[in-house]
Amino acid sequence: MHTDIDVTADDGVALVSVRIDNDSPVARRLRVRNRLDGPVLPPRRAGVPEPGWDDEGFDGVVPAGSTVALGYAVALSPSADRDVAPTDVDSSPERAVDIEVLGRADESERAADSTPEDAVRTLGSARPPADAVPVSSDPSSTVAESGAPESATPEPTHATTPESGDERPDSLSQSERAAASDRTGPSERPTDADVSSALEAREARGHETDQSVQSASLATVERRIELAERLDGASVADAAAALSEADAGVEALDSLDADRARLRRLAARATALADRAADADPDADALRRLA
Amino acid sequence: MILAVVSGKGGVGKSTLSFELAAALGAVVVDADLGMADLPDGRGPDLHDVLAGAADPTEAVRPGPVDIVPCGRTLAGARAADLTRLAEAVAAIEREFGTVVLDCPAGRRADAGVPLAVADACLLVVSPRAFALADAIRTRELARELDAGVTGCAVNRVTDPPPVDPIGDALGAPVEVVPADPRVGRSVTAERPVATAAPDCEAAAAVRALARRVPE
Repeated sequence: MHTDIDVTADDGVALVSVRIDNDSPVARRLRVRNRLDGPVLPPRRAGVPEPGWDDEGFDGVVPAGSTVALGYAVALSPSADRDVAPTDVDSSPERAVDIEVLGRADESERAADSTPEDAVRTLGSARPPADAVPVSSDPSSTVAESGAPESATPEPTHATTPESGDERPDSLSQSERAAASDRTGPSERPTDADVSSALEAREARGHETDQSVQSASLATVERRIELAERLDGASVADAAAALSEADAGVEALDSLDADRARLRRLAARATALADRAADADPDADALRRLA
Repeated sequence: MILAVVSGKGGVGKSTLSFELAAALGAVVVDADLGMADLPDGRGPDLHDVLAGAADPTEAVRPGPVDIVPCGRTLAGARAADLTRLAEAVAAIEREFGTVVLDCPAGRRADAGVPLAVADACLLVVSPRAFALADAIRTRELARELDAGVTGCAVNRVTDPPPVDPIGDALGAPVEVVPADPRVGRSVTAERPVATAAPDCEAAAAVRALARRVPE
């Protein structure tokens, strides 16, 4: 059994790679335990740790005359009193991991690949993508949504007594029930109806910006721009005169940035439409004859 | 006993047959279609909450003509649900209520695979058409990989007599024909299983035959 360990620590994260050669003619079971101060971040597929990994490290088999390569990350805790300081790690990486050979591997030890974890790993996660999940403006619901298992884990729900099923719901006190409905009630989670209304609102806003350019006549915008031009580099007297003549105040200038953006958008759209109008040139006479 | 009701394609009547089978077996039916639930919803915690760790599995059982664990309808709930908790949740329901029927989603992703991995056995539902059979064979393979024995195959919503023998040969499982019957179609929304609403109809007899094949 020959092992090769390498550790790179950078920015609070240590990357540990372990290579184990089994030159013996029998498969060997071994345990790799992390000794760095921090939680083990094992390799994952579809969000589920690869088989053999747990919080401490890896447990598995190296086949006869074969090599196994492992790698994991450790989020180093910021505390000063570490078992192994990062500087030590670079000079003596073997201190980062404990490798224990547990003896000959038993053929029958191989578990069948039929756990839920195996199913998720091999078939791929079926969760809807994060982008598809509506974000509510209510901050409490974001907490409920991002309900990572840790944060969403509630205080232990009341003991499930195997008494008569009919009485069970009544065994909840009012406050507990209120808490349960707070936690799980639809008010905390956006429903699909919320999503569609949010989308409609968003679309409506999109139209609004387009229309506001068209409806707020270009003349108003032009007046604002003229005012801005007169004020640009003007003396105090000129500026005062310009402002007194203009029907708008200095605050009208606040919308200049927005005006600029809107006009650019309008210009781009107008150019694109003009290009399309130039490209699309059906034979009008022929069509008229057809009609 | 945990029985998964599966199919390759959607819309072949898994939810309806799950509900009917649960009625015939006196079982709890769990709506395990996390993304597109079909069984009636209700107030209180649902499977999304259970799989997000926010509710106790047995709390989510909603008593009725057939006990149901409903599933939430939101995308946020579907995303927060951790499928790897399903085994533990279903085991807890089985301990307290006995037999559990899992109404699975169609397809071959993890949301269909995990219930199969959790189940002791599965029932394949196919519609009596050639293209549906090809998908049923793929689902049978998935069930085999995940160690869920096939107890039978229900050819559902049959109007003309289907080729029972070729289907049975292709799937390697005993075939039961469930004739098309509007009472079966209405049973889920009305929460009136044909086993009690129309026990003498052919469809109810077919469901009973399917239930008899489910081992204890």
